[in-house]
Amino acid sequence: MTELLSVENMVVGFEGASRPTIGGISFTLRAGQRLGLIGESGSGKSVTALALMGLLPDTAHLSGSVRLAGRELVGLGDAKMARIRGREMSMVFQEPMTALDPTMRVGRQVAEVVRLHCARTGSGHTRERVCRMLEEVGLPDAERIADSYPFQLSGGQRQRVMVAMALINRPELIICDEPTTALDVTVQARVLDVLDRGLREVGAACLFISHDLAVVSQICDDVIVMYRGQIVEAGPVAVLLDHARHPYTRGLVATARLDEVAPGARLRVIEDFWDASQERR
Amino acid sequence: MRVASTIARELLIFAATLLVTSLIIFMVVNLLPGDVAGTILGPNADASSIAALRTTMGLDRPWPLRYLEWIGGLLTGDAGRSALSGQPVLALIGPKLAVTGWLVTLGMALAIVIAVPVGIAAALRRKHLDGLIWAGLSQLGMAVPAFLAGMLLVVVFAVQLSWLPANGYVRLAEDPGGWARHLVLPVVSLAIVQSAVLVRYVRSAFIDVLGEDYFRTARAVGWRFGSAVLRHGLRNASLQVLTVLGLQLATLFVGAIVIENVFVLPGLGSLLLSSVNQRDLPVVQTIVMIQVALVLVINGVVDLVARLADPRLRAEATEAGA
Repeated sequence: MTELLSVENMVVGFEGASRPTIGGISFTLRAGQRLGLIGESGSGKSVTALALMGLLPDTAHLSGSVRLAGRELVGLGDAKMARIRGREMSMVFQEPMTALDPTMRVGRQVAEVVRLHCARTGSGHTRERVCRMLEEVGLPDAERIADSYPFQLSGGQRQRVMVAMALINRPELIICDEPTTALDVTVQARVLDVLDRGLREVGAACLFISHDLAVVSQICDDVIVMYRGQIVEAGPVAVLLDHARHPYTRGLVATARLDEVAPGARLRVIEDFWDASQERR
Repeated sequence: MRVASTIARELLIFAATLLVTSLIIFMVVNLLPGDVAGTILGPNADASSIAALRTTMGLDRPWPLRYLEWIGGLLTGDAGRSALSGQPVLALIGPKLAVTGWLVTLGMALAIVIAVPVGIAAALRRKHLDGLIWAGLSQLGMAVPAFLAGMLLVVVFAVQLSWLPANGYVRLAEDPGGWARHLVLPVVSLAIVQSAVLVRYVRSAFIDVLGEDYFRTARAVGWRFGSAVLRHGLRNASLQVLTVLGLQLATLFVGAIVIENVFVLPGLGSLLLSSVNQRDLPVVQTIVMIQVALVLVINGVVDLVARLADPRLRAEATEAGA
């Protein structure tokens, strides 16, 4: 199997910080593979995602090697990175409420992603393609949604639009940074479902960042665990979560379990989680 | 229909505000001690001749009557005559308003032309020396009073270099070249101070926008940094700056008096000042009235532009109008 993404000894440090936020991590992602990235807040999950996308703030320093389809991304200029972003690799962010431009109709924002990367598309054709994509992510009333402004849509609808933007150019890699954390539990399941189908349809690989073990086990084949800027454990989801060796991972699993003692829907989620992992075994 | 009713409602509010303001202006102006009869006859006039002049001028009639006369005249486009010169008030004000209007609009336009790129540069480069220098210059510019900037410009460009006239005004219709040359220094000195204020707001608006999630999204879908700033930053940032801009413009129509004095421009401010000193009440009332109307109109236009640019406000407006 060919490697789509290969990260080697990636270090990310911020100005004024005593130790690097990401302390030399390495992992690979095959074409079409889905890799979960879990870890507690501040463990460096989001920074890893931004580093791969080349979207770190000016104050960050990135070193090591990130190869996408054999091409080195570290040190690539903004113009060249921009051509890769949104076409070969795209991203879904955590906060759907603020991730879309409030002053622009969402249809136009999705259409922009198409036009940015293929110059020779007529606007009628683009519109058609945008609406079809919106339907695919579970927005059946695509025409009306496309003509809406973000503030007229719900969080779930906005996140579907974000998923549509990430999928529409059929990239080889999609990075999802806690894409359902900010959503209601019921909406979460549906958006995950849409994401799952979309990834399969496009055949894209996915780096799925989450702290929700249930979600990761539902979406991903493999998982890596980050702790304080280091990868402490990696392996197939089912194996790793049931036979966690690293104390932190065991703690994480246990904590997740304790969390789920809370009343309501989340209880069911943890049950699903155990069922799913047992089936996979 | 909704839009039409919204506009109708706004116009009604506008008219009501003007009416209430006119009453306040009239009361305040008429509360000033001394009157024009005293000015005309001089400090040595005896009380009986002043009283006689007041009667001939109609100043002894009850104020509600005089108010109604004034406001009725305004409605029919006749603001009465100057108590001092006998000239129609509007004919007196017209040319002065043109001077102030040119000064303020050109000054603000230049301020925007300077402040937007400088503000953006200061925001983008805020962690570098050049960005800090821009921000520092803006602070400095705000600290310099407009009259000082004006006088410094006069010293350099009029006195030392003799490139431009130090003061005075020529009408545009008379001599366009002379008009332009006379306006350069006042417009520049006004723009320096105003742009310094504006740079601050443009800078902070862009710093906000650069930190917004949608800006990161724009970059993530493949916009290059500069294109993302223009495409998704400019409109959102300008929404923040717009209100400040309207406020500045409105203040300037009243506050340009300082610059007008430095450059001896025959503007609205100078006329207002001399009319107050001479207790030429018809002129004072009407100038203040015009200034109030201008402020209201500017605010209305800013509101309208904000609604056109911001879909959230537009939705609010149609809901309110329904």
